[in-house]
Amino acid sequence: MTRAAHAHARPHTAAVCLDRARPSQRVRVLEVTGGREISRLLAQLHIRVGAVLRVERTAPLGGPLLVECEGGTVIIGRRLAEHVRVEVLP
Amino acid sequence: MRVALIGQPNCGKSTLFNHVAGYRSATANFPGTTVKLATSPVRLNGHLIDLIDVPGIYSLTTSNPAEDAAKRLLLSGDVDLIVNVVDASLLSRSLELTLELRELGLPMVVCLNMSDEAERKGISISASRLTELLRLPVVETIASRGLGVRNLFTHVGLQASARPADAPELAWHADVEAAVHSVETVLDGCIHARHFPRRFFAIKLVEGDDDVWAAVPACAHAVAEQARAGLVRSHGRPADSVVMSERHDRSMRLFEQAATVGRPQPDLRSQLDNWLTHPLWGYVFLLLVLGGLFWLVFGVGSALETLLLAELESLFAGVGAAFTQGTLAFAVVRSLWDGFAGGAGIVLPYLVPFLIALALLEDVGYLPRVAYLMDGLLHRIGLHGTSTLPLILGYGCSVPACLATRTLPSRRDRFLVSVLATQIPCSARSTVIFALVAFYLGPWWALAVYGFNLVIVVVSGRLLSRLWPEVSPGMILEVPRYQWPTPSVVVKKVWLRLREFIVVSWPLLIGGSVLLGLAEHWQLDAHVNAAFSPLTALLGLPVVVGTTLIFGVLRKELSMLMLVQALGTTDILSVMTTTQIVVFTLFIILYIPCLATIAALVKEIGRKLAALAMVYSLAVATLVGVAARFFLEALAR
Repeated sequence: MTRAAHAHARPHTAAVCLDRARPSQRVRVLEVTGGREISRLLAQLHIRVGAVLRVERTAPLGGPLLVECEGGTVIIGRRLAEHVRVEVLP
Repeated sequence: MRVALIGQPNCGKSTLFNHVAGYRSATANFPGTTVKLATSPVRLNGHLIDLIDVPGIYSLTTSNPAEDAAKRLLLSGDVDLIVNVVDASLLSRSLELTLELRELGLPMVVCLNMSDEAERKGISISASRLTELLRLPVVETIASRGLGVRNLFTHVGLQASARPADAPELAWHADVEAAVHSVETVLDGCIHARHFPRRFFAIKLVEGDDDVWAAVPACAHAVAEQARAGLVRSHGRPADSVVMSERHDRSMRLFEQAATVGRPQPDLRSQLDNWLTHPLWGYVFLLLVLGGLFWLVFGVGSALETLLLAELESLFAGVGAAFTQGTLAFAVVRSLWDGFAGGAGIVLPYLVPFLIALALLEDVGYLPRVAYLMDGLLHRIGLHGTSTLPLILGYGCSVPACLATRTLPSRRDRFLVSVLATQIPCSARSTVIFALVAFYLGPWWALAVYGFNLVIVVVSGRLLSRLWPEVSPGMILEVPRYQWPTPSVVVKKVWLRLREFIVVSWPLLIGGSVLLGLAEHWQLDAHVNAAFSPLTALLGLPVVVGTTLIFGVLRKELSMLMLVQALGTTDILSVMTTTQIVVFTLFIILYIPCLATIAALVKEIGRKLAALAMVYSLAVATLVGVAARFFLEALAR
């Protein structure tokens, strides 16, 4: 799904990068940028367009995010999280 | 019959392997432990099979060397049957790999492992329903307790030559199916081999997999390209993403049909992470764990060392009395005994508690949490939290640490982490720190050596990452559940690492001891020492330690044991100053890693980079040794 199509479908939610999401927020993945290698890495742990994630917590010192996805828990470094555009779910 | 155990990381594959194959494979509760393919002949229910433990993989889309190894094995034609180990508590996700493996068309049995965990999460799965839907035998097991394992291998025997039946209900959407089919048809015309994974090849071509693309004849490329372009047109996104969605879609549907989700049981372990990954308490706990580990190893080790050394010395008094001092026979017997006693009295007391503690931490699943906590800090030296695991393994042994870098995505990260891991005191070098520094100078000195070593690693990391700037995308790591360590797994893991010392290093140690004894008897060691004298003089060390540095390349703990022999006394303080002991230890920790590590380095990062790493380590060791010497001498004044 393209970003434009999504923006059209949900005009009220703004897309942010995953690294901006706060603990205990639920988000839906809109787009993974940064090329094939990066989307492959993320897709393996089911972080793909359409997936719903729950940010459990974030580490201090610019550390990674702990994210729940399809029953599993995944650590995602901030640099990688910058490539995941998400919308925050209510 | 060759049977490959395949599953996602942390699904309990290696535990299962250990259960049937005995003391041959190491496991750990974090992704990427199985970096080489462990094979073991196993007799099960009267069948003799070769069981292959394959690294944990998420898919057959290669993104790191470990997955590459798995894919190559599966396509080599050397595998007769796949046992797909599935973590029942992550069923919906794990089924995607199952579906992908199914495409290979090999005989296959699905092992639904950890069903107890699934129950706890409120997921109840009907294995029989899943068998029907997948048209593959699905067997429930709890490998950590050995439940269902026998039944699993009964099915392996039954399934030996049965290729998976067609399952029309697993078919994809018509347009994707048509695209795959068009490629299958052209492959049939191109490839003349009787058996090849036709559907797997076709799907991989549609996905645009580079390896399969290169492996099939060029005549298939045009049709595959057409099929890909068609999918991009109709779906508005890359073809591999379309295929991935199809698998996701089917596995979600399978999950819905075979499993019901109820209320999860309250689980203390989820509360545990609120504390252990807490921004403040997480670090406090981390320090407590590492500190506890240190004091435990030191406490147990030094008590045992004192006891054992006295015991062994009095034993030798009896044996030695039979020989006349100064004769060749006495020199040989004495040095044989010294080599044996060094291993038993000085190495084992520290090595055993250390290995037990490390195995427990691994098995409990604490290490990925450490990666989470440390990622921010490691960024400052140009690395990621993922590198924590090899670095921590480095405290056990540099060899598995270097091998574990295989799971890192870039060559640059593999080089950096393996160089840094070899600068970390492994258990052999820890023995030197404990038995020399802590034993003679006190535990605080030993702690200072560890602390200083960490500073060197940090500076090294900053320096090297400045020279080779970062390109890797960052950390992504799955967090396993906490679990109670399985005693048998811990024992096996400790034994596996201990065996390495007993069969490789101990004989070397005894041999080295005899060589040194003979050299001393014929007074040859003076020449070696003279050759090394510029270095020992620079470091301010006694000339006699020259020979010991050679032995350090064989095994690090040898240099310390040889030191005792070269100095001719166990009362080191009477012949070496505090400064000399510290400088000697620092030099031993940092200079060229041992032979086994060099071999691992060559294997992982290539000959050139390994040579570079060795030159670098020698330079760092000399620099640090000299700096420490002058600093401590100035301090003592």
